Amino acid sequence: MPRDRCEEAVNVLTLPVLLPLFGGTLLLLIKRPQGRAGVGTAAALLTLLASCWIAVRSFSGTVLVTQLGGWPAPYGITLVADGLTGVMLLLSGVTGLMTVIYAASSLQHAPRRGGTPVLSRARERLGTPALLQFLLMGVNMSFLTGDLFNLFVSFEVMLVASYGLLLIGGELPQLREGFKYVVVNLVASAIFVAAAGLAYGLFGTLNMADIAARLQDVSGDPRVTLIVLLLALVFATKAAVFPFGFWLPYSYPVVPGAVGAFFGAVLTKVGVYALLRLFTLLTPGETALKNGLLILATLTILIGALGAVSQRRWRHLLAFANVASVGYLVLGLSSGALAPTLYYLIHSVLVIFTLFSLAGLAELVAGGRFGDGHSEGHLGAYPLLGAVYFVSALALAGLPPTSGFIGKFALVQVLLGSGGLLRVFASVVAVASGLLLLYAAMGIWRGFFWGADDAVHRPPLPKGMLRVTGAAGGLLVMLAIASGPVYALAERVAVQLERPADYISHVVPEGDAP
Amino acid sequence: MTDKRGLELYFQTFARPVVFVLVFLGFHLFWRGHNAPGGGFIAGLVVAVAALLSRIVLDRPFLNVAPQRLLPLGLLLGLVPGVVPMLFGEAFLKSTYGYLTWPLIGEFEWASAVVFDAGVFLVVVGVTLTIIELLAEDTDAGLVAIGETEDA
Repeated sequence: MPRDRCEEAVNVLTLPVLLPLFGGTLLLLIKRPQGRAGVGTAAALLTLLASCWIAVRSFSGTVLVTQLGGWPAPYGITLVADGLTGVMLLLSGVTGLMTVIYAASSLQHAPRRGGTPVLSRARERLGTPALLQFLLMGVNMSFLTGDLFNLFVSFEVMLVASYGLLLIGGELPQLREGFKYVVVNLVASAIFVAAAGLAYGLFGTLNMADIAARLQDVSGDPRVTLIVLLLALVFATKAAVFPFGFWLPYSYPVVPGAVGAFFGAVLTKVGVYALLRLFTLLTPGETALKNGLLILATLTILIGALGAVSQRRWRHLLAFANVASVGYLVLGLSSGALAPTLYYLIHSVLVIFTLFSLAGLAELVAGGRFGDGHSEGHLGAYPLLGAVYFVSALALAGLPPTSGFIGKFALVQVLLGSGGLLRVFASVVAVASGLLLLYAAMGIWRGFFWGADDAVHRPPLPKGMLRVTGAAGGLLVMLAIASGPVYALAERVAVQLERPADYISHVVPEGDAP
Repeated sequence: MTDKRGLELYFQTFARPVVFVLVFLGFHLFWRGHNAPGGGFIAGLVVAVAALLSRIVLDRPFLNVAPQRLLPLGLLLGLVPGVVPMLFGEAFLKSTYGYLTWPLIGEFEWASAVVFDAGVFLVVVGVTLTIIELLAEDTDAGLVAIGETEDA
């Protein structure tokens, strides 16, 4: 019996994990920086191609499954790709490739002493490219895995790589923020293991589809609620939901620009992805928990937007904007608005990546601060950067005609449609915070792009960084133009998520359940 | 240093056989690891202890290669049994085994998983030795290198 299921193994599913692993390993062996840049880019490109293949297959509605080592589902580790996995893999593949190119290109610029953390040659030599690949591997593995404990392992792969990326360089702010980051994530990981242990004790399995299939047998058991609560706590910490997100806003600005862009765009969203899986697959019910999360999400939006207004440094502002962005996503998934959440997720990854890569360039021009009167009026010298910033700032605030507006509009529509005081309040906060984010983004516009052109010397900006930023901005515009098809796709994926029976039956066929 | 000579003599005399026994134990653990407690991870740790003892007490490097070099080699070796089955259309990491009959030794079970274990072994030895060597380096020199010293 297990024999015939081995035959349909879709081995391509392992490639988004294996290619970065292989690439990262090769990067450890290569001695020349140019060679490392080439191999890193090639690995990221191949990973993107594999992700595209999986995404296209999964968007047609099929659930791709492969059993590692040929061991059947509840016993071995299963890799599963449904529509949600496809979307996430595509996003991480695109941003991963752009990050690798951006990082390699930022090396052409001689790093200024101290000050802003750009990727310096010393940091590159210490293994930043290899760690980026391992990070990509962990991220992709967490999107693909169908096993709760393997999800923990992917989180650890991701975390260990991010610890390295955060701390390489050993500057004081890095050590200070890295300490917080490591401690918070260690605690979260410990809770995750405990929750996985409890789940194994209760269900006798860690395969997520198998757990979902056995939920009926234990319905009403308070232990299920406890496990779900612990898992939600862990994922909310990863996603930086208020009040578990205090580690994020000051830790993302201390990593090199390219890495910061990937952290903000994708790493935080892994938590959102895990919450999405948790709430669609493992806990279709649990309304009290969802309402609690809805309140937290509303507060997250508010904290993120207010925090962004209060900042006078590019990446600190963006890190808070990222928190607000996560708030919108969690608001969407906890209120059951899955299609808007998915659309907003795509938007959020692209807009945060664009803004962070702009911030990396702006730091080369004028340091990390803006609006302190030292350096402004850069619009004349960098008109295209100004245009990209303008579009992405509007998208961040959620003004028409950008993708941010479409996402927020759909979200608020669902919230108001479902009624209830809580949801009306949440949608008011969501709209008002959009205005706050607009105000924060205007601060950068006024303090950096606008004003009299008084800068004497402007360093040449590396072409690769400019191209990546332009490409990210282009994708953001494309998302608004192609919002019809993309939103339709989000709806299809949402429908698939709302019917977990399909996912379950692909992973653990009926007859097999012991 | 000179007053520690006597103590060092004891250490050095005992360390030689202990290193030998540890290496042997490590490979024994590695060997039995397929179906019994043991395996590449624990064997790697034991051999790393042997290497450490050799490095500290006998003051001579145990390996001719830098331990950092073992990491990528071990990772690559670990990938081999994962990827090779995929080339034959099997699942990732699908393991296979069989029996060989050798003269003198008799029947002998082989498993492809041992290659993965060897990769784990190399990674563990490499990581452990790298960490210990980095910690053992002159701390002040390390701090100067990353520019974090206040004053001397």
